[in-house]
Amino acid sequence: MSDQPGLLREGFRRTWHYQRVLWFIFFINLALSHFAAGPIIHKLDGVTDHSLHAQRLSNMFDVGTFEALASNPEVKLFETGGSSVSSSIVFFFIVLFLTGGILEAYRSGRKLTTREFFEACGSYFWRWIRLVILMVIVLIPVVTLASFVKTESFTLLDDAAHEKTGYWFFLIGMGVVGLLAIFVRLWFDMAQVRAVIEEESGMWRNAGRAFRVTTGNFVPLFWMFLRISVVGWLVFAAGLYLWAKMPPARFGWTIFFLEIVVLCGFGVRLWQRACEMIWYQRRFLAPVAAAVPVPIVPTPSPLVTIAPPPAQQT
Amino acid sequence: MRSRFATLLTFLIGAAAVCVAAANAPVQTAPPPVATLADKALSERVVDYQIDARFDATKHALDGTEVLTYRNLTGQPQDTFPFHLYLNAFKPTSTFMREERRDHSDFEWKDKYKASAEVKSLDVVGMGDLSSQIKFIAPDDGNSDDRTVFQVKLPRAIAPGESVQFRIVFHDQFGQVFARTGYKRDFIMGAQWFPKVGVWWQGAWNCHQFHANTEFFADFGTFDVKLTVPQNEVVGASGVQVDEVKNADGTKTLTFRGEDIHDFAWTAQPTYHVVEDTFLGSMGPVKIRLLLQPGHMDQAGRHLHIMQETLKRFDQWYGPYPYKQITVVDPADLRAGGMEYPTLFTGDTTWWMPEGLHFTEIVVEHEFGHQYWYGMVATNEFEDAWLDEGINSYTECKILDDIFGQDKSLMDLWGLTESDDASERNGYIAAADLDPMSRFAYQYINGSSYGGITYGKTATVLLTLEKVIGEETLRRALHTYFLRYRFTHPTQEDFLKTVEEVSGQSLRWYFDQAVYGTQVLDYEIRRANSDRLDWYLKDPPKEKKGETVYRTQVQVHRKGDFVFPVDVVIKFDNGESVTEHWDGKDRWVRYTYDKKAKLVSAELDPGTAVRLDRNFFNNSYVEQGDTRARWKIVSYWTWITQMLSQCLAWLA
Repeated sequence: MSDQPGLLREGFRRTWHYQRVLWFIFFINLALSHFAAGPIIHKLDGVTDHSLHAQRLSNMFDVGTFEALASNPEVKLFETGGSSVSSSIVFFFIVLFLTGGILEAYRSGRKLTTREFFEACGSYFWRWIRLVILMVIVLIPVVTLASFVKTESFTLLDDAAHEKTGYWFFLIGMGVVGLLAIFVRLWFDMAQVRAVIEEESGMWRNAGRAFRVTTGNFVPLFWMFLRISVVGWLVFAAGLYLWAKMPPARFGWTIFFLEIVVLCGFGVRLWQRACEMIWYQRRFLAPVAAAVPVPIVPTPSPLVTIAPPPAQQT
Repeated sequence: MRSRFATLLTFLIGAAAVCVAAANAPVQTAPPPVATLADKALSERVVDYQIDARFDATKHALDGTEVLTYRNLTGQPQDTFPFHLYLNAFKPTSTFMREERRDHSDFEWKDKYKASAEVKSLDVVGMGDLSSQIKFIAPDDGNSDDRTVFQVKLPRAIAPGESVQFRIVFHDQFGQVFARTGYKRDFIMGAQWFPKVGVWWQGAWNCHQFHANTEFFADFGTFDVKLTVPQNEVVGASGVQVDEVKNADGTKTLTFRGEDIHDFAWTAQPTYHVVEDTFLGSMGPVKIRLLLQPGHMDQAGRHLHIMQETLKRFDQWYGPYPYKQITVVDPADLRAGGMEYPTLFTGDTTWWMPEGLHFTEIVVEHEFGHQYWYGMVATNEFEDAWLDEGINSYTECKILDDIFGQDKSLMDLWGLTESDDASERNGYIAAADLDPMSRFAYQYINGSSYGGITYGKTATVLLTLEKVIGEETLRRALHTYFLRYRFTHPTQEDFLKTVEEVSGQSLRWYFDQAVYGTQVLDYEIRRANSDRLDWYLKDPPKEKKGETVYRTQVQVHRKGDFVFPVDVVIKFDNGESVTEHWDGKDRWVRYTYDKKAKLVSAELDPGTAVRLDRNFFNNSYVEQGDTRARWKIVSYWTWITQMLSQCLAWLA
């Protein structure tokens, strides 16, 4: 199904090569999320630190104790959820901003200087904003479909002849919604790639052309996207498995594994981006000259012959 | 030979005499007991229902004829009889639905929920057709649109000790299951389906309307029910099946008999899988009949295991189960699940329920427990809901703790644990000061408070009572209460007085606050520290362990209004430990010690036996802080935020 052998390997190589981007995003995410948890740190400070009862959370993880803590009037844990949502929105715009630099780095095949990286970030940012607005408009029917699937599956749980019909309808329906969402993501990923490679500035026109590219090559693109996604899902499942198996008292290791899951999540997404860039370059552009070292032949300085001034004719 | 002939002659004469005596004996009209393991009636048998019903599975409708014989044991003449018609609650204008909407503003009425029970005719033997005398009443809220209670006035009063026989022809239309009763696909739960007479209790008729938060109350008696259903139906019902006849029209008529029970429920579904087992109790073998959904066969073992373990503990701890059968129904709709009826109850499970989540077991245990706390000790569920739901929640905690271990009785999954009593306590904490336990069930502020107090607080109150009188004493008290009040309608005072009697203690100080009051119990270690005695010296000697003298002060504060004696344990760094006992009557107390040792910790109520305490976190103070719990929660919170951010960033 893949039309370009070695695409994933090359994409992975490029992601690995520019891994500082991955670490950058990961640490921004970690810092913002930790910042969002700040109110909890202060709320719990006076409640758990000097309490013997808190050992039911540190030496084990007793859900009943956690529920009691979360609803404690001095804590009201879930009231701090707003800060997490806020930090997620901030992070979204940061990633949107960084996308220009990331794609430019993947396009050029060389390490950008910090100045070049952030210049690319800035120059593409407003184009990404316009693309996101377009994408949200496109996603409206997908979200509507998801809502329909949810409602209908609940109705089927009530009315269908078999107990599991509603469940299967939900699973299959959400599978279709997932496919559509992946298609939309691929489409707008391609639009971003085109904007960088083709120096497109009109985003409506660019989105239209990217749509034709995506639909015309959906199978290889989807196959590439899916295989990388599966890697991410496997890492996620492995992380959850380790989390479940680790003794509750050794939560340091648990968090370590869970952070690896987050890191891999970002890595997988960047890997997809790199692969899409390479795929487009291979498909629509001549082989990139930069990929083959061109021997530089010293050339002699051009001889400048200064013609003598014409003799004055008398 | 002669001798043999004489023996034979004697035998023949004797046999003839027995036959003649038997022929002359008075005719026994009532059939011998078949539904219980006892050799005599267990209850007063105030009512005798004989119902002949035909169920139309296509229309989800039922036509029935009920012959009710009521023995007037009220001690006074009775000329007015109230009846419940519970199915009429499933109409948008009923009190039940009004309260449902009041408590859940997002609740939407759907026509498929609509159900009804209609009395076609009502005759009283010797008095003729009294259908015109039927009058709907709304004793609780005056809602003239509510049709869940009617009364009929007889032309002449029934004298004390006399019986009256009603012949009621009725028609039921079931709706899709909304709460407890109704259909779902080819499943039907026939509960609260026949006109049921009220209870003469405490000198008056007790016949409440059907409310969103209330359950049921009825008199003990016998039930002989003939149920005609399509031949492909698998049927389960209260009592035991005594006959089955296949009819020419493709139906079959099943006959059930129930004795010393106060309600009769049935269920039918063609695809039920039947699994049977036997529990050998102290009164004899009890048949466990399990009706499972076809996709739940892999959970048969879980159901049977918890049934065996529960029956065993109830038999040992509280008293024998006297019926020959218990039917466990796994309904096709969870809204019919988790409900008790005499000798039959519905469980509540799903096909994906992991073994580490014990919800399946909890519901089965809880609903079986109602065979004791509702089924036999038949308290008024409208008025004293805590006596059945609450006591049952307490025994549920004790039994599940005993089976699965105290910290894992609710959940033991992926490193996460939770005990059933912690879950009950959290329910109570959420509604701690809103309603007293003693409030009528339909007068609670809302459904959450009803659940939190009736189930959660009662269980927590009784768990805390163990601290006062001891676990074993409370078990003996429940055993006594069961044996003394089974097959009667005790009040909350009957229960409280039994506990006081068995424990030999006056517990009014506790019951007045816990049962009749809304006081909140919350104690805290307000402050605890050690300070050098020579703190005032300008140049004090260097601190030396075991030599420097410290003044340690511990302040204990009663934050709530609930007064309860507590123990305080203060530990010092020389290994010494001091236990103080505080009656809790004042708002606070300060303990002061001058020792050559510093404070390590001060802890109120070690072992958290005072389960009513709303906040366990402030019950202790450890000098050396431990940030692990905080960082664990913060780390998980951070990780969840990271994942949320990552999902959102997918759109970038």
